[in-house]
Amino acid sequence: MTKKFRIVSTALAAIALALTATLSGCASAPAEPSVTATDVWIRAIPDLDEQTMTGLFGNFTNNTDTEIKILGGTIDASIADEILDAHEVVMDDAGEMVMQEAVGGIPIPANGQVELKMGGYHVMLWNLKAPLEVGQKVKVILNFSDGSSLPIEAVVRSTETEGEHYHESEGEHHHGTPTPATSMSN
Amino acid sequence: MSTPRLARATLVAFDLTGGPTRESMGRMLQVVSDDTTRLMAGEPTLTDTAAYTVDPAIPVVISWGLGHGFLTKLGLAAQAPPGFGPVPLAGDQAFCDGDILLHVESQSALLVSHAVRQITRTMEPFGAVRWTQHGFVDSAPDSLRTGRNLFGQIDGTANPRTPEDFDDQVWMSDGPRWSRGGTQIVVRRIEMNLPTWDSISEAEKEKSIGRRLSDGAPLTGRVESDPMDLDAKDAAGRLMIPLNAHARRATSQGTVQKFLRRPFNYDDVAPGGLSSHGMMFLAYTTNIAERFSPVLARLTAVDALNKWTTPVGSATFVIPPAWPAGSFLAQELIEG
Ligand code: HEM
Ligand SMILES: [Cu+2]
Repeated sequence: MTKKFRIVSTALAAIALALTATLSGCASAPAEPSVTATDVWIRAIPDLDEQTMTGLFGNFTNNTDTEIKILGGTIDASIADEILDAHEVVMDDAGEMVMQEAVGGIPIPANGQVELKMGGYHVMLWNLKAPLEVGQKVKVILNFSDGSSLPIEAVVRSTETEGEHYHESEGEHHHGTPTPATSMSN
Repeated sequence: MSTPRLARATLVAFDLTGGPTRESMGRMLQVVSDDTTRLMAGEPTLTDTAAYTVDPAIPVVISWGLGHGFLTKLGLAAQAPPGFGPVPLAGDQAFCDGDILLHVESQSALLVSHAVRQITRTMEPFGAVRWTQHGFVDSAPDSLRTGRNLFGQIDGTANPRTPEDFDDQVWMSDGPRWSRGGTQIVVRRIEMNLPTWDSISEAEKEKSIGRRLSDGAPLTGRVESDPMDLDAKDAAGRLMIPLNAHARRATSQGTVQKFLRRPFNYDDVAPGGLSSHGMMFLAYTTNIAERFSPVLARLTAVDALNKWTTPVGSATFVIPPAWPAGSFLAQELIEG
């Protein structure tokens, strides 16, 4: 009995946490924001000599009756390049997983959800200025096609490290430029 | 801890790597707390690599301990609760000590394995696995019945039962704030020599403990719950529970030397393909030095069971209390 109760209360605690996170993200807006987010995390980059870019992942819910797209966002320039891009990983004709701009943004269906996850949709952070270590909290603002934006605190988490790097191809340019030659394997 | 043992348990001890600081440990404690909360709710972790494995219908219980090494490496030795410290063991140190303890239990071996694997990945930037131990019991999840160990004995009879017993013997109520409401655990790995045990008679087996194999009743009583009569003699005038019987030697002298025993059996493959049998002996107490160590010292000196048992590992940890929502494991210690 005790055990069951403990588990239920942990679940409730987790829900309460998620709610606080969402609410604190929009302290000034009285109405529910058009998009809410949970479980937002950024892949750790402990060593800038290995790579300087990473992705943001999480669950996004569209609280409106029309499709909304995640266009990208901004981050404090002391952490990375200020502009964040909406990206996706797709398999090219050669069977390689490649990362490219999500043209027009990442769609969140009306009254639906989208999950940004490894090997799929993500929001790209470029040119990190300092390592991102597991457990660190990072503030970002995401922008949506309905003109709204959402401040989010993402937690830095590590993933399977070996063979799972984002590789930037030579001479690549980002920020709105499709980057089909940038590959990510996992 | 006060919950009955679940069928499967894995304990993993980690050593901190890379010069831990309060800042890095704060980050570590937050991410492992997040993994723990999710897995105990039957949800995948944030970075789960096998997310569909979780099952909200099958409980997974996860607890954490902080070792002497954790406190000293962070300059927090003064924050150790009263009576906490290592219980040293000579010889091979492969199953000794550790800075952090992860303890996962479930009725499902798959879910134990899954939780340990995901949390170990989360721990990777902060610590390296020092040792891992797996154990099992046959107890049903909602029963308080005492299970049997590999010697075939009913084990766990003289244990705290009531909430008052637990408050007295198990949960710390004083000492540093961060540890109040928590407990101290001793993890002893004890090899059991089954071939030699199997070669003796039932009568000798019963005398070595002082209790009957069939139902766990004391050799001087009728049912398991009867108290031992340590003075009773048989018709020939011999003590019915001999002076070296395990239960006689182990029983509390006075009211203090009591604690919770929550052992798990192990049946592993030893090098060379032989089997290695024994007990992952887990003791929970408010104060290792006052409650546990005197009993261990008595048993080490004289105990009939010593003929068939050999301790091969020893580690101690402080288990902080469960953390409230919005907080994390040992937050008061690391931010205090
Ligand atoms: C492989 C090793 C061991 C085996 C097989 C074993 C087995 C048992 C059994 C069958 C009993 C009687 C039933 C019960 O009360 O649970 C018992 C009692 C007990 N054992 Fe052990 N035990 C082992 C190691 C230890 C160790 C290392 C300690 C502590 C340092 C310990 C402390 C106790 C205590 C305190 C009792 C209860 C005594 C009483 O008040 O009646 N045991 N053990
Ligand atoms: Cu990308």
